[in-house]
Amino acid sequence: MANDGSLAQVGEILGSGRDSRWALVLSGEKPTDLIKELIHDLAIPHSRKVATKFSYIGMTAAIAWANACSDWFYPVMRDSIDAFDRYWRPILPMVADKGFHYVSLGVGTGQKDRVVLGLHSQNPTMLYIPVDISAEMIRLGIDETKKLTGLRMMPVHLDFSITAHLEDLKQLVHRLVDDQPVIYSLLGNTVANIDEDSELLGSIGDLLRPQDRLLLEVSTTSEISEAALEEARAEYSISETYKIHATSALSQFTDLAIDNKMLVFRAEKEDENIIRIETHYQNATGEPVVVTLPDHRTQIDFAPGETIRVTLSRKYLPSGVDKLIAEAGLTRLSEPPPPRSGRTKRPVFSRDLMLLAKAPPEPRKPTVADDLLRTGKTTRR
Amino acid sequence: VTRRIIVALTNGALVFAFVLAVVWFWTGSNMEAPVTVVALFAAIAGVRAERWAGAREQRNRALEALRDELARNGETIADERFRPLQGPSIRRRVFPRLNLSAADAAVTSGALGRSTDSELVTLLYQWRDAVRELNHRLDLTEVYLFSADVIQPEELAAFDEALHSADGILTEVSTQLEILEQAVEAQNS
Repeated sequence: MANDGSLAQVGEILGSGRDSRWALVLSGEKPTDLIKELIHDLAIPHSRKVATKFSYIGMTAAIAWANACSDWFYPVMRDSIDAFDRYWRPILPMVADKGFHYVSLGVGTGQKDRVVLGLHSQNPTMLYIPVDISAEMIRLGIDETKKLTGLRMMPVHLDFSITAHLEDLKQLVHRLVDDQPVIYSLLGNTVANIDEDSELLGSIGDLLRPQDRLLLEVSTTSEISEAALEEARAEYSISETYKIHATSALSQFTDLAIDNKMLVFRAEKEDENIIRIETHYQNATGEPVVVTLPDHRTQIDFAPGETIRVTLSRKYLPSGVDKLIAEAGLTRLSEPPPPRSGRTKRPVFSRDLMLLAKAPPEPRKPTVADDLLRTGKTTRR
Repeated sequence: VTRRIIVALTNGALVFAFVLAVVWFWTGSNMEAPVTVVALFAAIAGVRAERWAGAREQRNRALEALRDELARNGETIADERFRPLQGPSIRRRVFPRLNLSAADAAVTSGALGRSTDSELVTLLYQWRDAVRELNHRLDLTEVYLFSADVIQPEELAAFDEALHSADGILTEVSTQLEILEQAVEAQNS
């Protein structure tokens, strides 16, 4: 039976960076809950969907995602990873030498986290907590990172898109770091993959204490026009590796014979600030298809022409970014990116990496009662 | 002490003048000058003593009236019409007012004219300002509440909360009352 001594030894081995085989992952995820959600979402006729998070679960999905990230024809992620260092540079002085710990929500391939973990050189006691719904993504994401000598790491296997899970994560992090400051990150436009994006960001904002920060990355668009919608649609549809990633959940969790030619890409105006991009798998066989769900009992009739939404993403106007962070009760600390020059008439897609903090509560607006009966000064007896 | 010496000197001079006058009457010796000097001295000292006595009486009356008025105002602040209402009992109401007659009289009559009274007079000025402000704000509150056709209970509760809050006008006036009561109690007659 493990005691404190052997646990300490394990920690020492993992922190030494010498032995790259082992990784200790703290699991807070119940697989049955995930399967229940998946079956529920797939069983509703005419609004069938697979939440984007399922496209990362399992080793084949994780590999499909890693391949998509390095695909020359899927610039969304590759450019984002390549340029991350440039976007991070103006933010670095705001967090350097402050003794931050780092909690990464959605590890991805781990490349961006390794840029942020440059802070470890200034803070040798830094604790790194990568959090992901996919144990395989965690393993993939931290494989290189754990070679960093002396980095204390506590990977957490958890679906952070569920508010109750975030509350548990908050308790865990606070017990691990006490009052020391923490940078949370939500990178790679992850927030846009969730149906209720502003609610998720609000829940993540609730993790923040006054000393904590949130590093948020979102995809942006310079305009919302027909041309922008078309370009956004095309951005996703030209990549074969992205298609494999998009269908990886269907392929893994159902017995549907996947044909990537049946993918339909849609880009539409979600509101005056957001382009919503969805990938749907359409039954274009002309025949009804019976699909068995992962409980091996439930079967659905996938009607001809019907679709299953397999991915969701968004691109925000700068005003949409402002609205998103304001609705989440957050305040921006880093400078917003300068507006693009108007030399090109084509829509410009980019990304915005920002450092956020919990906004102080707004002062209460005085009521008539306050005006009439309060003096505004507290009297001391 | 000075007042007592003057009273003693006045009474002494009168008795002495009386004795001199009796001697002058019986002996017929010329005692006019000493009797006049002593009598005039007693008269001058007596006038002064009378003034002192009058001022003292006026000051005592002013302080007594002030004590009574402050005590009544304390009871008014504790009046149930000022108490916050809750639940079904919540309603619009007319608040009681605090009185200033004795405070006004104490300041304007000059009854508190001693040099040692300046601190008390300053407190009285502040007290009068605070009470006037409270009464004015209560006037406006009643006009606002009674002018509306319907008032929600939450809004009425907000008025109660504001009135009794740490920065509420009633709290400020209560504090001033406490300070002033202590200052009045500390006064010697």
